[in-house]
Amino acid sequence: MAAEVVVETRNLTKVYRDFWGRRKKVALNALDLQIHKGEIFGLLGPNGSGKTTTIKLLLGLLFPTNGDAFVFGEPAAKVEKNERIGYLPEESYLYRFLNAEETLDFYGRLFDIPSDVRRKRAAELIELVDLARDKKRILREYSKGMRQRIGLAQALINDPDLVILDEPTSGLDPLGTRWMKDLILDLKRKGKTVLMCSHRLDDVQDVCDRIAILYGGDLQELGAVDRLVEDQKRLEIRASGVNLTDDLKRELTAVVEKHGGKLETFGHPTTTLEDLFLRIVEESKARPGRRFLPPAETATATTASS
Amino acid sequence: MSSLPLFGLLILDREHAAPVHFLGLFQAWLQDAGGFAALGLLAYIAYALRTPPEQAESAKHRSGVNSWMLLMAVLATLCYAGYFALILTGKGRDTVNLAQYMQAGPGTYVKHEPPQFATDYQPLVLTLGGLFALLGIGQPFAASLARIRFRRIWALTILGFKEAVRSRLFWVFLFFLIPVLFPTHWFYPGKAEDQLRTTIGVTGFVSMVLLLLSAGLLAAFSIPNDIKNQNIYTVLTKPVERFEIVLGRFFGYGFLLSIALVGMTTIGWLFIFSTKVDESAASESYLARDPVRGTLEFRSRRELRGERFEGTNVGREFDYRRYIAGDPSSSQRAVWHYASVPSSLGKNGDSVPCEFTFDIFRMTKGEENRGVDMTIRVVTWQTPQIPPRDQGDGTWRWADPARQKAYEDDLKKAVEEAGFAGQNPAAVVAGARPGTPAWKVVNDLAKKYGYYEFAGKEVFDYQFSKIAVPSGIFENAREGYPPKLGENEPTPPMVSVFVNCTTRGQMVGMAEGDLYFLRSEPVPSHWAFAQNYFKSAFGLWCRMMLVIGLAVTCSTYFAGVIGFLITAALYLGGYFSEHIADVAKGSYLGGPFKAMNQLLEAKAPTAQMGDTPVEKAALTLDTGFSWLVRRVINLIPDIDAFTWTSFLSEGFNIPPAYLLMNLAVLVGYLLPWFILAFYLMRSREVAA
Repeated sequence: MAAEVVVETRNLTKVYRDFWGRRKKVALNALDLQIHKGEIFGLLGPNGSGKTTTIKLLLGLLFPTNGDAFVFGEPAAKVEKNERIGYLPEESYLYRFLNAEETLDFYGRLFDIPSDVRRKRAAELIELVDLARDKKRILREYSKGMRQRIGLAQALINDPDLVILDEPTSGLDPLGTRWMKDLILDLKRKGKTVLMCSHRLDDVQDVCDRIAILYGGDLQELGAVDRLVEDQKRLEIRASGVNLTDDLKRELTAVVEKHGGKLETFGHPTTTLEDLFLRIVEESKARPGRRFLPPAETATATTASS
Repeated sequence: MSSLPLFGLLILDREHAAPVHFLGLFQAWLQDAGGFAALGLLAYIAYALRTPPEQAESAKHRSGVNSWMLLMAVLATLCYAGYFALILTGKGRDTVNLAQYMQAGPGTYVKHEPPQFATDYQPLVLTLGGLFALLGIGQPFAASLARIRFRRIWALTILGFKEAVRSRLFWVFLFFLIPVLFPTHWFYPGKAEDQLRTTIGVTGFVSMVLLLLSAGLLAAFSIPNDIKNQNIYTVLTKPVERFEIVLGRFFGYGFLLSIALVGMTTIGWLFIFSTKVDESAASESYLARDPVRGTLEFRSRRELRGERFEGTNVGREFDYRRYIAGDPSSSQRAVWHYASVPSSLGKNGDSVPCEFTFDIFRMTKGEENRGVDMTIRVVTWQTPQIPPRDQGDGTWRWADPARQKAYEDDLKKAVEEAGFAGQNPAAVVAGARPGTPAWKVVNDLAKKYGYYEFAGKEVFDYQFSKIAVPSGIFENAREGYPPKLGENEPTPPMVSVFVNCTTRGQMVGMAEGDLYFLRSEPVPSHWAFAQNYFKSAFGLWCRMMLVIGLAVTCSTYFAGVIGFLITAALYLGGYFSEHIADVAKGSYLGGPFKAMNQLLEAKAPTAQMGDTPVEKAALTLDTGFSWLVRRVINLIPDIDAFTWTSFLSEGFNIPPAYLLMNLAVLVGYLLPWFILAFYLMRSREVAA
């Protein structure tokens, strides 16, 4: 049975216009994607590729020029859907004159959470993000990493089903980054759906189940991370009990067996997500108009062209 | 006209809205706000219908049009079409309110009365059109209000409060407040009796400037700052109705500045309380007079010839007052009519104070340190008066000579019975004071005949004077209801006060607010003053909330600076509403296009316009400009309606019912703005 669709975009397009209504920039072009319950989905792309625009459209902070976005089956413009969403913006856009406790209390009130639940949850989250010692300090005095932590805490104040994280590891040190990645994986374990966008590809590779790569507002690649990072044009053979010689390299499979070795793995080698990302960006630059086509469409396109 | 007191007097050139005016005000509100709502509704529907049917769910959700809105739009359009048809055919004109609006030329004194409920076809159809338009445009707003949660509003309120406090506004506030803490008369030396007036005036002005400036700045920059700093992202991604942000800001700043206002008012009152106030100032201002006011009419023997006497204009630029000639042979009278008599008047004690302050315009130097002599005659509907026929005779007589004769006989008899045998009855009456045996005679006769006259009252220029009126007058008035004199004649007043001056060669100026009965004898009291002091602060509170509401609305669309300037322009426009109304009516010598033409042609402003195409075009453009201003004038708040400083400084009680109406007017003014804020906020892409 197919998993519940949590986020869906249909032909989602955003065009920025100037004062006179003339097209200034196509920030997002006919994006179609689905994010399922319980998966960690990554949005990748260089600056200006449409990642943050997509998130803002999903959250109702921007209005689509065309197409539509749905979260939990509700149109993005509906306020009620926000009951189940937690959002951590790229910069921690919180009120800097509030302290950590007041911040969580404020956002808790916006969810209409009863005061006793609010207080309990705020205390737990402050512990979780390791700010117990600094909870009385106003946010203006916080470092960027601390603000990111309290930002995450406010995103979780309502125990959301969908967590949207815009550059979650931005401003965090290596330890903080590790902590954030563990937390994201923990959210997945609890059955939450996570949509994140990041420039830090190693982070995405570590935690995401599926990714979408955007460039110039167009979807360039979409799929499971494991599959995408496979190098389909090459085979990999992993062997043991033999020395790797030039002969061995020339007569790969046959030689292993001929020499009494045991073939352990055989498949496509994986590259890094960083390599994949750079390759797609280079291809997109070289071939304007390049777009991702789903497998079915690819087959159709191939048949048609042949 | 400004409500600031001139010459230390309370100028009542406008009638404050009381509960009795509610229906009329509500009808005017439906017409005015409904007009704007109709425009908004049509524009909204036109915009929404542009959205193609296959458009996204989100777009439909954001700017959807439901059948209710369409129905209301159709009904409103039908009403407005009917209204224009009535205008074209000239039928069903508003006979109640239109005359007041169009009657006066520029600078002419007009008493601004609250609108009355009109049942003519034109105003009724216009009211219905406005009602339908408001119901249509207000439906999504009302639906949004139903989803609002108090906890969220309160969170946003507290947020605004903390933001203002932690931005150190409080300390800036205190810094500017320091000068007010010094005795005002150090800076503004004046007459001793004006000490309190000056203090109240200065503290009131400083409080107003401080509060309104803070309110405007805080509110106008609030939402734009949230958008600029992108704090709004984390708020709008919660289940927050966008209008809750508007309400949260409104209440947050309102809450904060209300605390500041209470603090400032308390400090101001403590300051006055602890300062040694001059006795003369205390006797004039430490009061809370509760006046019963009538309507003023000028009369003379001219009416016997079918002419009207409207008082003499002595050529003063400010023609708030009209004058009567002082002479024993003058038949000119200023007459205050009381269509009804409050039941409380004259119930306690045997007298009712009647207070007055007149302007004396001296034609001759007169005697040094001597005022002018006035005669005040108080009569009820049972004792109508008629002017003298003969030129040299200035005495008004009773319409019923037999009744007058009976009164004179009874007076003579009563004076003798009271132990004043041998004395002139007129002298006994003149010397009677409340509580004395002579006063009992006066009171009994007043009760029987509904007549009392006080002759020879010396009055000084712009000084409060007072006489005691026997309470029997009011008992006599309450014995029945005055009969209607004819089909189209108005019902005679219950009580009338005739005032004339007997000092030759002087003119005495009077306006409607210059004479009144007092419900009780005012006694200088700290407590009464304190109550009035805090009540007058309510007017400032209303103005403050008005500024916050306006500024928050502007901030939903405009940048902070622009929003603040628009708020300031609208608010300050409220002080010039009369001038703007004159421009709207075209009462001045034309409009800006005619003026420009006269300037370019080097013609005098009063020169007649010719028939050239340019001049015709200028006149047409001026007509269009006048039409535009008439629409804009409805956007300008009625600031004077919220100003009670003069009541306080002149020692008049501020009736709570008036304050309640202030609140109603405030809500009525802000509601359409909030509906606009709702739509602006809903249509705004905060992350664009």
